[in-house]
Amino acid sequence: MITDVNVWLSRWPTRTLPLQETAQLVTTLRSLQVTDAWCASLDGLLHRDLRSVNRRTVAECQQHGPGLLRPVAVINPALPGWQEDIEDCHKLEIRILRLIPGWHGYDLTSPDFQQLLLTAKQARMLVQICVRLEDPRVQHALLQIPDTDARPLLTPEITAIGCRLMLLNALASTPLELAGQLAANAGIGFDIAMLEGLAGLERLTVALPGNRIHYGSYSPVFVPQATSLKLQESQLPVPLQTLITRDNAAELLRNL
Amino acid sequence: MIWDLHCHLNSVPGRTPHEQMARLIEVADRMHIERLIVFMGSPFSQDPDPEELRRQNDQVLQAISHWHHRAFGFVYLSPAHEQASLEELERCVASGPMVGIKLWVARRCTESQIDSIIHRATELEAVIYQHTWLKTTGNLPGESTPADLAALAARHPTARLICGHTGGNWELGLRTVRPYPNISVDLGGGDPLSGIAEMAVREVGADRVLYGSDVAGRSFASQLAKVTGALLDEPVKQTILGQNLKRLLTPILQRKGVRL
Repeated sequence: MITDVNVWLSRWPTRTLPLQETAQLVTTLRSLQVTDAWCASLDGLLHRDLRSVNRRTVAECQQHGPGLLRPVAVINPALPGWQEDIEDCHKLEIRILRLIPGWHGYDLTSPDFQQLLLTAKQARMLVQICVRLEDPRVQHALLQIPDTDARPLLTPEITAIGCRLMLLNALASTPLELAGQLAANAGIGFDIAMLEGLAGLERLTVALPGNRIHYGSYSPVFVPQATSLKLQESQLPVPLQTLITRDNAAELLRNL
Repeated sequence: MIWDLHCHLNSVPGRTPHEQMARLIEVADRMHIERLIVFMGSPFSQDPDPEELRRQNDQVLQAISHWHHRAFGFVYLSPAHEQASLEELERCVASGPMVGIKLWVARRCTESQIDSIIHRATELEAVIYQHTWLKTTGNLPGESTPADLAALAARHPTARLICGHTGGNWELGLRTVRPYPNISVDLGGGDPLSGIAEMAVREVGADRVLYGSDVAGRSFASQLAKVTGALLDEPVKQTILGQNLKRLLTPILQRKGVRL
């Protein structure tokens, strides 16, 4: 039983993905023992009618993976009326929000972002923040998107809000020392989709508390097997593996 | 059978090349990787002088010295030091155990000083690994592009060339090297983006596609997944994971009397 906290539906803007059809993605996730996949739509990168995007995500999850695909809403606090998009999440029974600051053109010092965290905190929602979606070296020349700097999450203004936060795709561009501070001092979780290096999980579990590390694959943009093989490459004690693959995510869901 | 084209000692824990190699093998065993190609030492040096080239190659020679049944070495050369590189090629390949050459970012492979190196490596039937990238954010001054390698392939049609990282921006790299049958492509070193292996097979044919990891900067896991998780038939995956590299190396291994 695995909870994958970093899954996407629909189409990547510049490439046809082999598993972009949800039914095929579901088959692969099930083959990897994923039993809970947190899914937002890639349409949310560039679409501005996010309410429609999120409603389609819910429909797609219900059609192809009831019990497996858990809808996650893409929210853009730089858009007018984003508060209503969150209100819509209540109707759709969505408890997890996914932010894509780089693609949406704001950084984590933005007052709108802080307001969003306050709203999410009051609504007892989890906020996932995508630090990166694509290595800048391979981005389309007309879609050059900067990584998001996670350091503002350590400021008192944000830590005081106390919103539950998880960073996705952070480990390629966030130094391990900073990640350790974010995890230990601000209680922020990290997924391992962009974790690299020889036996990388063994290194990561030295730098970060085990209860802040989550199984995330970034499927189908990344090959889903990449994350499952990371568990094979590193020798972790079984209880720690269970935390990463299931229990940490379950604990977050219990508190929503 | 999995043979990994692309391994480094740099960043592998260990006080000596021996210890680093033992750690590489330990982790490779978990992933069922049978053989490793190792090149360059620690720390990485983008424009090494002749002394540094020799020092880095000595590290690799030390590292593989107890692991000839599991690992091969490629000699690190630089067109910026043509004569010293030719001497290292003689020392490590012609007279030593190494079976290929590694060219990185000191000079682009369009420069004429590289021709004597490629010519001699081809005489020795050594495999030639040229790092290539085509970065959206801009290449280093001495960093070769897939187009640079294509021009080299045209000048040396019998050389066994490998396009490192498939050019990084692999959709562009594959299109660029597609017409050159003496160029194989290395899938290693980038994020495990879905579709890379499928496009490589579609565009250049399965026989020209090689699995490589680029550890320790990358993980074995993420790079293996590009192949094992691809929507390809199992025999095609096996070709990419090891059979193609074995075929490329067979002439020089036979010349050296290595039995597999």
